Amino acid sequence: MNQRRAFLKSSALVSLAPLIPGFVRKTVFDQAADDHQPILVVVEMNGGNDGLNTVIPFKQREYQRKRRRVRIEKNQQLKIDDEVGLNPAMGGFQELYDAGNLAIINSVGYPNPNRSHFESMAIWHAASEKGTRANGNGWLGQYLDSSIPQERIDLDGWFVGAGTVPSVLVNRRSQIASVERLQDLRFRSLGVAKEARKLQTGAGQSDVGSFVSRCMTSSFASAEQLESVLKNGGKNGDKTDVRFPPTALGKKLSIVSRLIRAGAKSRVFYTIQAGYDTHAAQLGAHANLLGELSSSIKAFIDDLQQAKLDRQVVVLAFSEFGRRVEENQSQGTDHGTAGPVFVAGTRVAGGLYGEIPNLSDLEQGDLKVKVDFRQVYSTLLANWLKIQPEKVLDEKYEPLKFV
Amino acid sequence: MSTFELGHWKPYKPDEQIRWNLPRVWMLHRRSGFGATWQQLQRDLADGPEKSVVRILDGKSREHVAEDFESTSKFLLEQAIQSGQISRLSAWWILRMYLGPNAFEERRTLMWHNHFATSNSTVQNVFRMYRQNRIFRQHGLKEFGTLLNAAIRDPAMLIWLNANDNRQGHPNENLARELMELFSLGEGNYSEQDVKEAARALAGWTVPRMMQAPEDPFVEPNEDKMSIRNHWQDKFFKTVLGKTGDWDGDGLIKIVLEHPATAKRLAWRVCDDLFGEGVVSDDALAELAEGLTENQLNMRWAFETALNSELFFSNANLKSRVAAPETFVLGNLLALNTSARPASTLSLNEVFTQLGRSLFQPPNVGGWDGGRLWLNARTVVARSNFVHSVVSNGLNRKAMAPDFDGLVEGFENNTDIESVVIQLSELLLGLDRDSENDQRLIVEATKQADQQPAGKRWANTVQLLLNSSSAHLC
Repeated sequence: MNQRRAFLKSSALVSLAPLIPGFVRKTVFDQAADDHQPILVVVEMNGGNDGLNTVIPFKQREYQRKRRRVRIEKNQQLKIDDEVGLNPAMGGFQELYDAGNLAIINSVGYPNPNRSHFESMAIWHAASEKGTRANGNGWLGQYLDSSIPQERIDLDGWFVGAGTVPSVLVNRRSQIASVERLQDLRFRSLGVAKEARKLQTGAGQSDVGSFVSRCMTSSFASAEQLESVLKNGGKNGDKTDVRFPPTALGKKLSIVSRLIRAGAKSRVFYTIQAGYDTHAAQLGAHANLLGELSSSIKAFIDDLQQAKLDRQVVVLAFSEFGRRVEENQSQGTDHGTAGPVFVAGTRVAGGLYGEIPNLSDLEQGDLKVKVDFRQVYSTLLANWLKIQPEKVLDEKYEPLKFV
Repeated sequence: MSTFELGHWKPYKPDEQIRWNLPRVWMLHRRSGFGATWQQLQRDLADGPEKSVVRILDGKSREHVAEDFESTSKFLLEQAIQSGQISRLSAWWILRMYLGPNAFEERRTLMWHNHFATSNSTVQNVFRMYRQNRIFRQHGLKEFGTLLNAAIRDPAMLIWLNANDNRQGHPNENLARELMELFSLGEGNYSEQDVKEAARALAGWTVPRMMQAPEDPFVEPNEDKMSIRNHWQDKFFKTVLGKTGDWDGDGLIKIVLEHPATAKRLAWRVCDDLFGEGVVSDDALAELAEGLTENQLNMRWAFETALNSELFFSNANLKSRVAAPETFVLGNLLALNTSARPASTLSLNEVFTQLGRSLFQPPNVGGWDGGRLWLNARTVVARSNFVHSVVSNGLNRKAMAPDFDGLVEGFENNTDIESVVIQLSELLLGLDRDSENDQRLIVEATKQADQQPAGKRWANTVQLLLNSSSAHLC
């Protein structure tokens, strides 16, 4: 016992070493942040969106032939072009398109499509056909790691939604906050949490141990700072008269907007809209999803426009795969391949990109991929986030011109 | 059981390098079940690993289970099924995890719930969700074939994966795909063509769309069963995983069970459930898979082998896992000896949900990602707030705050602050009083305990320790 006491005394000195990392003192919401810092907001359309009933190639007779019941008649579609119309639920997107603020990239996918939800989503998240990267990062995580100066480890991304942070944001150097509602980040005993900061080194030197310490420390910091920012309302005011739809995605995007208006200087916000796995009774459910998507994104951009922040933000919406051209027996569609990707914002060069799917030129009954999804990423990285795409993607991909 | 030679899985024999000490007993309980009381830890420390592991596997590690536990459990189950509310079924299950006789069985049931992840969001039937849970419970430690055959024919699964829509000439691949990708072989061990062929083999499996729950949940309603519609079946030849025949569902399941990838996936599942990050090498995994094949995929054999192994008790395995929500919540409630005046398990279900574990509602067919993804700013705050509630009033009005003084009185040495802090950190965090690194935390916590007012010292110290990063590792 005596020997141990002696040891305790000596290690007490060791324990006085600075325990609170410098980054904790930095603020997440830096009021003096660069106003021109570009922000990327991503909406993941989870489940595999039926692209053919989203951006509909009404001119092709094969559409009528392959879609006998899961079909949207031409006179109901929202016409945006001579060859394609939007799903009638997508009035918001039609307005954005007409104003030149929506780019639709058709036939996006990757070689040798994988029809497993998880594998395919993993591929989109990792930006790698293997579904993982050697360092375990997601493509947005890799972007954060590559774009952040060495000395600053900060809260650089937000996941707004329930459940765990998706793998696309996994990174080594920065922190991702995850909230479903803003009050989720309020400590009932902030005092204890603060005291406990001195205990955040007990987890040992293992990799998982330091991960936990890092996560705890930064959670305490972000909770504390969120508290003060929300109290102060933020520099850009807390009120606009835009109404977000009272849906799950509408609420999530209103939180994103509130955080941006409050001065969050994070570069990436990520949300998920689930439910696109429409194997049965598709038409009504799919229209609800697309209606929610388009009206929420429209409201989000309107809201930022009122706050004069719209030129800082671009929205990307994608799904892990499209669906089979031919409908199934349950008035639904099964897992397919290529599909459309949407990019919205006032800085976007609106219009149609990629190739409209050719239903007479299929591969085993599936749409052919004409645009590699990494071309979309590459364009966003180079032209919007202003970083060399090669720092994030393994190879060079020909960029598009939508932003 | 065969006497398979297992180089990577040799049994643990305590020695100077790998001592049988409190941190190892602590890990054994947090990993095989949810956690243990101080008395349980001390008992197992005295009895040695072999006896402790057998006791856990046999479901006899908890000694003080209320006499009327099973009748209470049955009552709550009936209420849950009649109410049609899935939160009440979750509360029933949490009660079993928290206060039931067999923590090991509950943990394995949870593991299978993750493996065969099915959500009430689609099934929309509390009785069916319960019955699936019962299948995991009944067959979870037998040969995997028994479990797979029962789980895949069970109505909850068939509704979940659109079996009714899968007919000859008009396949719905959902069930066939998940059978291969998630329940047996694992991704990368089959082709798209195999999925299509497997869907043909399963064509015609149907289940009534709706059902009325029976009054007694233990009585099987005859009409709610899988049946095969002759005219929807596809009786032509199929080639699945290189084998050609006029396979039906039974034939298909036999093929996937015999495939070596299935044993490998099960070995992975067991290790994923019991071990920390990076502890089990690919070779060890392959060897466990071989052993499973030798033992007809007997799951009890796999758990027994793993829990008795030197690898399990190795230094690398200690404190190397992020504690899952149930481990954090129930492990700490058990350690704080709250079972005499427990919190309502309906409130505990809310806590589980905030921490990312909505029982009977996994995020998708792949189940919960788990591991590091359990922790983020939101769940760290929710965990801290849970601790705050427990320490101040036992979580809700019906419960009471833990008896901190009683807890400390139970310690072997409770005369000075430092000794109590050491024992609290062993009980709550599984710390090693002889490790230099853990000493640092103990010293800091002792310093802070010293400054607390005497009346609130132990409550505050417990709260502090449970806000440390170490509290999230097991």
